[in-house]
Amino acid sequence: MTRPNPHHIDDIFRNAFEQHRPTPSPDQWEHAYALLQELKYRKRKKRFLLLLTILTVGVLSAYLLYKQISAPTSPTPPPPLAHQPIATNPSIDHIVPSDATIQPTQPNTTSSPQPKRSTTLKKQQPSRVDRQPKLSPRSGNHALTQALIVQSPAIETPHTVVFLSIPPLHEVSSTTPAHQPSPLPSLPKIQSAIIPTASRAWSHDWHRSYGIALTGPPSNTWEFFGGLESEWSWRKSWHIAIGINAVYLYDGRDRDFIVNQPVYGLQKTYRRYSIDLVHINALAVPFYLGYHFSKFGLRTGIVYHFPFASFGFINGLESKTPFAAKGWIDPKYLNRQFTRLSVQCLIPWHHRQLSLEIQYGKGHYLASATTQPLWSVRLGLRY
Amino acid sequence: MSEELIHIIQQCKKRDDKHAYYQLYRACYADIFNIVIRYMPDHGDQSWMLNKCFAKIALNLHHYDPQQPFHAWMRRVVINEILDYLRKQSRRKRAESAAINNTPHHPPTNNGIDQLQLQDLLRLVRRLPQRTREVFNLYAIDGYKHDEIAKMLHISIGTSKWHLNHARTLLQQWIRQLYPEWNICKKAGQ
Repeated sequence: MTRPNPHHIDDIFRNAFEQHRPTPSPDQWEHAYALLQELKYRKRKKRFLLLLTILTVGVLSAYLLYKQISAPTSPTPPPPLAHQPIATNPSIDHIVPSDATIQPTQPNTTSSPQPKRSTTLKKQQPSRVDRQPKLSPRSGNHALTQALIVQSPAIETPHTVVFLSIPPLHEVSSTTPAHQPSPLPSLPKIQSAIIPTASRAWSHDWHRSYGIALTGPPSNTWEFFGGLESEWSWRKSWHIAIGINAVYLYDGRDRDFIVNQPVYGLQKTYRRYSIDLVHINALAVPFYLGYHFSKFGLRTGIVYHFPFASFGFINGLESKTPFAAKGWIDPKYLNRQFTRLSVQCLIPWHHRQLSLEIQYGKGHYLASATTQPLWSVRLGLRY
Repeated sequence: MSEELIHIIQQCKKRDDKHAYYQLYRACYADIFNIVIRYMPDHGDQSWMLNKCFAKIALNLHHYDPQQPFHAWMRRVVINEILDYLRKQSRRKRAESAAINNTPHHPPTNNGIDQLQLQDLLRLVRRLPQRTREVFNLYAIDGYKHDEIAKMLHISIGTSKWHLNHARTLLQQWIRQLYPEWNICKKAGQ
């Protein structure tokens, strides 16, 4: 073994290994090729499952949305609670005279006009507040009936019984007498529901992202989101993220949770996936409890939402990729353990969302203030 | 990079050609093998890791920038893959380093430094503690700088320098114990 400088330990070892040039055996090659095929199969399977998940959620959301907007609705909502007689006794059927005639009540078309919807382009900042369940005419009727049955102290008049026997609104519509003016055909809600969202974000490392999204109707039960986002940075990295977010408002009450939120991003050197599975508003103060899963790590966190502000913390662990050290990906975002304190202030009337993030990681403390997004404009058509 | 290697890489990118992959395997084998046997102390895992590193390279060929030297990119991928694996392993069994250090020492079978064979050097390298061995391999053999090593191993630059010096001291002691007549010195400058 020849070495240029045998007195240097480094040279001894370096030259020894550089001069060692083994050749593979056929058996080793067969094993390597089998492993390569297996990994290729796993990769394809992973892609297929991801695509299937995205398509399933998207199709399911679209179907439920279509089903919801295509259901017949009443031209007018039910009268407000304050104008109604109060029924109290849960065992109300026992009090109803046997000869009482129960008739469906026609909705009062003058006492409670339908809230006027703006036909102008409306700027609105997306926030969790918007996802608070609102009583739609149908569920509002149901809830109203339930509230009356439970809370009313006493029965005073027989026509209370008439009120309690109000059928669902779509049945009311179908039983409208012929002499009543038929309700005007409502415009397809899909036109009033899709809200294009354009946003731009800066962060402390000069990443800039531009995106456009289509947001579904913030209805009682379902809301979906589909978006496309691109991001560039001065490192000439870029990614395109496609996200579908289906939010199911559980039971139409004070609970909602995100069923699935897959985000598929393409970047120059890596792909990322993120899924938020749990989002619960089970308490009086809505909070976020979920985890963010991506190829590189796991995040958990709790975020409390208030009407105009939210705060919380996110704790996560991100791991390393073989390409991180080459400089293609900023290592600052990888190979670290981090805890993020996130404070967000939502200012809907200014259509802006400011967020302050404080991070500290393994071995170092990093504080940064970011605006995410610095400005956001939502243009939409609502009727 | 040779034209032949460029052609092999293009063939591997274009279609799932077993012959092209075999040519790539032959081109990468020696480098991967040398890295794996230096970093992986366990013989049972070496063959599996070698194949896994090759699969990693083959599956990520589309990330390779042809403007860069292929072998440098390949070594980077292999080293990072091995370090990731060792990091996961060390979390599972913290006592791995101690077990390696407690392995019985087999003295080199040759009688002179010029006749030191690869297995003898490997035996000495494997006697080093895991982190010290990683730093020594990265700096002395793979040519990384201390700041790069510090980022890769999540240690400080000073710690990296300490591990390198410690590795050189240990290797020097072991070689002197085995061959007291030789005058092996640490390389000047880090």
